[in-house]
Amino acid sequence: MKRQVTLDYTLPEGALRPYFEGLREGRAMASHCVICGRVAFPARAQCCGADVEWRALSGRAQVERRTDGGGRGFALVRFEGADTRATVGITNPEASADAGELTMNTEGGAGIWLTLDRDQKGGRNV
Amino acid sequence: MVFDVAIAGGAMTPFNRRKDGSSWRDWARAAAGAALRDAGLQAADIDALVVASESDFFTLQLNPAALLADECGLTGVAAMRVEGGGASGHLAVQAGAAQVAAGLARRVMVLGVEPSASHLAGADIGALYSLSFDAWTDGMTGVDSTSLYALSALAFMERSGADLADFAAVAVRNRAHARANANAHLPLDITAEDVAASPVIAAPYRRLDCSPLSDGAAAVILSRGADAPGRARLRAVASAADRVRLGERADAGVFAGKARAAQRAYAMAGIGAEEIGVAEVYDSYSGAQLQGLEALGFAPDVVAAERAGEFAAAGRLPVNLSGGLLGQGAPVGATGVAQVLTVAQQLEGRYGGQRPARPARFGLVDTHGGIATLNAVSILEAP
Repeated sequence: MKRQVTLDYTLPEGALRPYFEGLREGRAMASHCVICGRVAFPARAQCCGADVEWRALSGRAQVERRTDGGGRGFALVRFEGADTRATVGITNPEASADAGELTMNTEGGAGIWLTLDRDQKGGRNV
Repeated sequence: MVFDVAIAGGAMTPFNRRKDGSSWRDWARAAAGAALRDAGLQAADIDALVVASESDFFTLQLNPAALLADECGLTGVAAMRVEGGGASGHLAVQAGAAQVAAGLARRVMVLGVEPSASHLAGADIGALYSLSFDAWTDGMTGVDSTSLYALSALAFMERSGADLADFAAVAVRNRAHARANANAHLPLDITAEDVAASPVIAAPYRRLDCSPLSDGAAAVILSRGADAPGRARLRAVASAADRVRLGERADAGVFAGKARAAQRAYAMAGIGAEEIGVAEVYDSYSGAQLQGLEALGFAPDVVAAERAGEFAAAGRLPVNLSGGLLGQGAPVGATGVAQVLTVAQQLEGRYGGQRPARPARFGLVDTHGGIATLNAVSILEAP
């Protein structure tokens, strides 16, 4: 027998709403723990058992590990000012730079996308 | 409290991609019936059922424990479903063992089942698997399991010195072990060159470094030792969760949650890693087997031990003689149940496939969900 299920979710973002609003606007909103000082991006709703404060990061990130396959690229990166790393999708996987900029997610989802730097001289991706 | 739980019997269906029109309910019934026969029991002897199935999206069936109790002629038993991603089957065994140890049930059937191959398109399964990680961060970038495991493997390779040849050796050896296993999905005769020539999925991982999506079911029956003479005993059941987000781990290449679960298991069993004589380790990817062996404490330098042949069938500690996930296959809910069954039968000297060169007294089972995010480790002893 054939069955098809189409599911259309609405996921309230709760305490992480500032983080997700930031992503929709292309801004990196990190959580800052007032107790231990840890800056997390992606943000956490709580740290050290307490609510966090919000802190805007520059949006620049350094690539630490990168994997490619099937025309897609993903990376483990550290955003400037963050104590944690983030897993990101690379918008321009043809580029080979080891740093990039947070990019607005045009699909409205919650993923973190990074556009790698382009070569200044040739005006092409490196 | 004395932990007195035995594997009274068990059975599994072949793990593969079903093309015969059979359903996951058929496989579950077959495994449950065969497990009862192996234990010399009737359905009426079972007083609790623990079902393992990773996702209702695979079966399109909520509340599967009640349904399978009914399907398997176990109406009236206590029933529950246990879920922990890739560790679901093993966690279900641990939950069933706790019931026996606590005296809540005399005989518990643990039944794992998953239609991971034939019921949905591979891309849909992949999309569901990507929700095994933090769905609000990693998952919504469209990142797949292979890419996350690849990022973790790259960190492991840099620190440990493991290279692509080490990964390929695992991929080849586990498939070779599977050739002696009549239930295996991928009993392949391949070489390292074949692995290197297979398509890149997410570098450094190629298709032959990845475990397959499989269909299948497995069941074990747990009881007190006195009710199961001549059968293997569970000496330790332990689990531990790690940070879900890879980026929040101190070292993305270390399976720290697995190491914690293993330490708890060794403490509970009162033995050290060096006393383990056979192991089934969660090799969702070739490199993950080496990362897992490191976390389980099997060698101070796991790469050197791998290169010295210590984990081969004739080695000091034979690993994944069933073929593991890479060779035997991975119908998620059934995977951990089958791992426990395999080690029990190895310790009882009645395993049908590849056996260790020297009979083992203790065996270890290791399973995880996510990237070693939720880890289950159990230790069994020969009868």
